[in-house]
Amino acid sequence: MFAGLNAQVLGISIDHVPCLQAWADSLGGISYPLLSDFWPHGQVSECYGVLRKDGTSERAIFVIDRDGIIQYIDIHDIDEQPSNAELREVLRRIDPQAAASTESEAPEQPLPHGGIVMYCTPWCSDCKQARAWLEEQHLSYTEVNIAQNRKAAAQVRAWANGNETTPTFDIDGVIVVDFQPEKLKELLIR
Amino acid sequence: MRVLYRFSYFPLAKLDVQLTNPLEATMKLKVGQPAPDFELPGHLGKSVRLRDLRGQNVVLAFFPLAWTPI
Repeated sequence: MFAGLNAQVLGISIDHVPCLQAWADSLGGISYPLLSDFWPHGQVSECYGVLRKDGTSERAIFVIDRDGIIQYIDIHDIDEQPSNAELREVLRRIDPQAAASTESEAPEQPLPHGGIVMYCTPWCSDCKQARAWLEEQHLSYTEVNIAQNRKAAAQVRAWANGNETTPTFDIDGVIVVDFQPEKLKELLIR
Repeated sequence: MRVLYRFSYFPLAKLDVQLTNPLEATMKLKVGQPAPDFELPGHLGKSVRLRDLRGQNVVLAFFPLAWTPI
């Protein structure tokens, strides 16, 4: 589900985090975040108007554009799945340029090496902090989005004990898992 | 049965495209409104804040429970 969409996908349910983890593992891993609206129970679902009386949420899709504006709302029958083709169409409509650029993207490039390579995701707050830190230190770096690059995600799992920890750094062959400013300082600033 | 009841609530002649999905007709949020910000923990180990994704298109997919199709 949701493969090849030019958007950051976020799944949300009222399950608790370990339950979502177990489910994702049973499916062989899910590369986009499954978020837990467990406590306060269903607060976000309620806020979006999709919390049901039985405490679960509707099967619902909201497409949000680059400016944070809702562009599409779809409430599905609870037993039916939303259509990928329809979502792709919606995204094409609200952002034609970006849709075209994903479609022409080269599929499997070798991973970059040399200098600072940061493996990250668009949604991780530690990645955001790491970007700000690197810019503060006037260090240039290459970013690899592991949410859109399966090879990169597998590489991070190999380095980080099977976890897709972000950010993970490859600094001329030295691997630093997670954002550790002290360690980066040691390696990069002498 | 529940759906039939909701439909019967509106006079048939007044049904228009807006009301073909009774659930959407009663939604709190509408297309064109800003998406309410939130921060939630996720299965990949870090919490996610919607506002941090400004500048990208986001597909927010609510699903009833784990172990059901997303």
